[in-house]
Amino acid sequence: MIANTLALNLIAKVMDWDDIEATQEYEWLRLMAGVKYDGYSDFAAGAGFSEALVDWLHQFQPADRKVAYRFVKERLVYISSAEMQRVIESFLPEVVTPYLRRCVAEDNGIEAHEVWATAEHAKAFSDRMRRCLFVGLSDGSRIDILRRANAGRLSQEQVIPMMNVDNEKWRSLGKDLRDEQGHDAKFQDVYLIDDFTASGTTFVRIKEDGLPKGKLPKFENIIQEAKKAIGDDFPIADGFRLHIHHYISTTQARAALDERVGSVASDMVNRSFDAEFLSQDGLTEGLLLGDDLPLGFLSSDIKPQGKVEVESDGLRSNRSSDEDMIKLCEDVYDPALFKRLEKHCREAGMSTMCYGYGHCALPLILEHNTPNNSVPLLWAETGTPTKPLMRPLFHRRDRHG
Amino acid sequence: MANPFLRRATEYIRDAEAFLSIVSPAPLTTFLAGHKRQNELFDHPIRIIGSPGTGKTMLATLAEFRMVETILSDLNSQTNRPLARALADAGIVVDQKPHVAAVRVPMESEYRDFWELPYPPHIKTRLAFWLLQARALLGLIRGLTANGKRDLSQIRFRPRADYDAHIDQIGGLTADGVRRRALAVERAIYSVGSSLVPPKLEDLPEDATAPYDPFDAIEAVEIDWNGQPLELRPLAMLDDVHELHHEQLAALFDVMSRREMRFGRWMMMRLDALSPSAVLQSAGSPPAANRSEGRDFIDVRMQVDIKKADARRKFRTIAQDIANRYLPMIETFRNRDTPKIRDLLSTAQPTISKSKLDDLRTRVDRSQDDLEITSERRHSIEALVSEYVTNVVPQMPEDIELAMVRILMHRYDKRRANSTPSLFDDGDPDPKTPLEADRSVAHGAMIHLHHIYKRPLHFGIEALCDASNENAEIFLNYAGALVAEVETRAIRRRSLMLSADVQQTVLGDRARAIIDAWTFTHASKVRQLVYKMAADCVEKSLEPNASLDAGANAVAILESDFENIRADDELLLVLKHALANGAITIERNYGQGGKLWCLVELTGTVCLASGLTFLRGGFLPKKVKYLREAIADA
Repeated sequence: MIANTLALNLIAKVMDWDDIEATQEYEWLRLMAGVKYDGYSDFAAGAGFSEALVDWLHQFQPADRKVAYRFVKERLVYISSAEMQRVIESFLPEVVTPYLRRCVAEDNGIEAHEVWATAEHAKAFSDRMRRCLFVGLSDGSRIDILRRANAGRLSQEQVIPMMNVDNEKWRSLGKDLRDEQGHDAKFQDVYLIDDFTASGTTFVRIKEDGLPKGKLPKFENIIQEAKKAIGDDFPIADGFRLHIHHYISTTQARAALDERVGSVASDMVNRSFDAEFLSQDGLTEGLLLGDDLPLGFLSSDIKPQGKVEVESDGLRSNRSSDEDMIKLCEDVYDPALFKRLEKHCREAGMSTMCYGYGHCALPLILEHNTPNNSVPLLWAETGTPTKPLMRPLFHRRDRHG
Repeated sequence: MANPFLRRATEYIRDAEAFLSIVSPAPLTTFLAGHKRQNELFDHPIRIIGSPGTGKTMLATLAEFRMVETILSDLNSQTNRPLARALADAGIVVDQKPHVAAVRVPMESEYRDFWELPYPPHIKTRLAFWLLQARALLGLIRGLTANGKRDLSQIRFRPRADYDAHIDQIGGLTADGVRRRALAVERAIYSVGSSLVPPKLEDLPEDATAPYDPFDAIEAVEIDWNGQPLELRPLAMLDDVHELHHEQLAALFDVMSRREMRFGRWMMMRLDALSPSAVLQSAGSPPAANRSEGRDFIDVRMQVDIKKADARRKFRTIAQDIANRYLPMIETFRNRDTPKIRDLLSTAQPTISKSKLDDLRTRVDRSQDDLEITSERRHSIEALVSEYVTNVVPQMPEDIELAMVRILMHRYDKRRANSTPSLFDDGDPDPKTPLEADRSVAHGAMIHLHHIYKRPLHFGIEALCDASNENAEIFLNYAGALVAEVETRAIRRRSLMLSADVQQTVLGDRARAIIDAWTFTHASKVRQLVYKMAADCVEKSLEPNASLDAGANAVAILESDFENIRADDELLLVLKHALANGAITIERNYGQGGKLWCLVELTGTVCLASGLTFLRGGFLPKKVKYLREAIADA
């Protein structure tokens, strides 16, 4: 998509740049729009990043536009399709393979680097790989890409695009595995794969009634039900090793998962998987976003400015240069956003959406859709077409609310 | 394409026609066509030496047979006609037919690795040489068949007389046979160089050890040209030989500079591949590989050997031609009439603000008072300036006139002080040497105004060209920065022409960025050296009497002192890298004031960054010690 010269002209006007400043910024804008931002799923020809940027900047007071522009230029993190593809492609060689090599080495009393030194141990490795089951948890798991990237290394019969499979499918998976590896063969490792976690709450969270909710308990229920129905034909071994892999994770989510997954898993009665393994080694990610990525962390010492809900705590900035941006988020915030997403927010114990879901305050965009953990300033649209209140830069298609 | 000025646009274009539409024939005409030994350029081994951006690769690409054939296939084309003329002037085309079958062999790849093999030097040299010969032959055959005008059966090789024994070595005289043999040699030698563990000498593949000397054996290539047989001189252009290990380069040069070899060979290298004394053209510089320049090989330096003024004039034409070819490639100009580069750069004299003008007037008055110059003398000086303005530069702004008056008053004072006092003096004697108001004083005035009042000094197409020191790449770098500004104005629906102020700001910033980004060997010393020289030149240029007119932009060392610097002195090494990377130029045996000097001139980039003139002539006489101190402790 070619940067629209009209949009560039308007950006310079909105930002009140002189020609020399405009020349420098145009170079950056064209580069980033061309290489990354114009690829955002919601953009189309003639309505790309530059056009959205004009509209977005225009909503701010002139004095705040520089803050907003600096935020986009210096703090925004945009994961493109190409980058996501790299993370998906690296999953097998960089996460699964080293783990399996260690397992095979331990089982055979050799060093990990000796696994491929002999045909016998190399076969043990490929057999062990075959006894891994890869389960996609959402569209974002991109099982299609995972399959294509590992053609020849993974069997079609060890990859399923969703955890809700019928009993016929379970039987079929088991039969194929037994046909290849003998009548005792079962899946020893199961990888649950999802694209992104920011707060860690989607995977497992504790409801008000103290009961766990999320994808982990849901998966466990599915396993238990299937085992009951199918019996010995169920293809997953008892006490299997469960792995939870996110292509992209924030440090906050990783910490939350570390804390919650272990305790929830241990509390599960008659669980089907090895809880100790899960809590110690089962959590992995392709890309871990640093803990300095969020604009800040919720703190009861800080009182928010602007239109943020009265009972909310404020955000303590990670960097002094983020304070202006936090203030802007608070100034522009429309509480109607919380109203729209209230049910989903309340479940997470939130009382404002000013800083994004889970108060994650992320400056993050994923090419297929902006996560709601990012600051709503980036993605939210409120008001009416004739009287817009919050205008998005990377509009989010919302599943909730 | 993003701004084509700011990337080597020609390297991103694969299609020959598209390449030809933007390429300039300048390297051919400037460096080959006028060479005093042009007739021998395909007989002797040639070293083509130039700084980055002088057009070595462009020259090689243009001279390649497939490109020549493309050009000659349509001589009615406006693009191709000047290129064909340039090729003819360079001797590559004769009577509208190719005279040379040239192939470019890039030396950037694994040749350097061969020097790390655990074999005696002569074996390593031979392996690399045979590999490049094989690749040259393969490339040549590919080039001869690239345009689909002939197949392999229509290409034959003619051996040197009495070299029949070598024919079998090279695969016979047919293109098919030569190609098969070259492929076998390439495969065998490549496998040696690329293997994880090099084979023992006795285990080298046979194809890598059997004699293979096509450069010795082949004298000519015969092809079918429009149905008629045509004989061509073969030529291998080895591009970027400076990538080789210096001992490897010397050894290869020794092998390739055998005069009996009939296969033409050009070795294209950067200046810093040579020794310091060779770069600085010291009289006693040792011969290359015990060969004598002129007798055994010929150097073609891609820098100006002809008079600087002529070179500048030529380059201005070439540079504008290049720029005008690139401008239509800019996205924003695609759907509108593309202006010429000259029309985008205002040459209208800028004016300083009223407050600065008032300050200048006060400054001039103060000078008059301090120097105790009478009103009558001042009037006569002003009349001189007025006369110059009226007759020569009617549009000259008042600030330059005032600054000229100030300079001339200071000159008067100096001359008055040097004259013998007389009893009849009224304190306002006429100087022995009359004052003159001319272009040189005007230049001096502009330098003063630039430094005191930030009045733009460097603007207009000629300044842009002169800032580049006849280096196309540097020119494109500066032009690109200016064109980016023009593009912004186009986007913002403003008049496209850039004012002098904008040009000065953009060029100055770009020049400083270029200098700050220097990372070549000894860059920090070079940076320190040029900034020291520039500071001293500025100080001299700002003398109130502008003794050097437009000021200084060089230092000069007595030639005899410079010649005595030892060949292994670090100073020479630093100067070599400064010269090779566009920080300075050096002219030996520069005659001035009855003496011979080694003139060390700051290039346009440094002058832009420091606010110095591009005009030649003004220098600071210094000792060698000055240069040593300038680079100390960097």
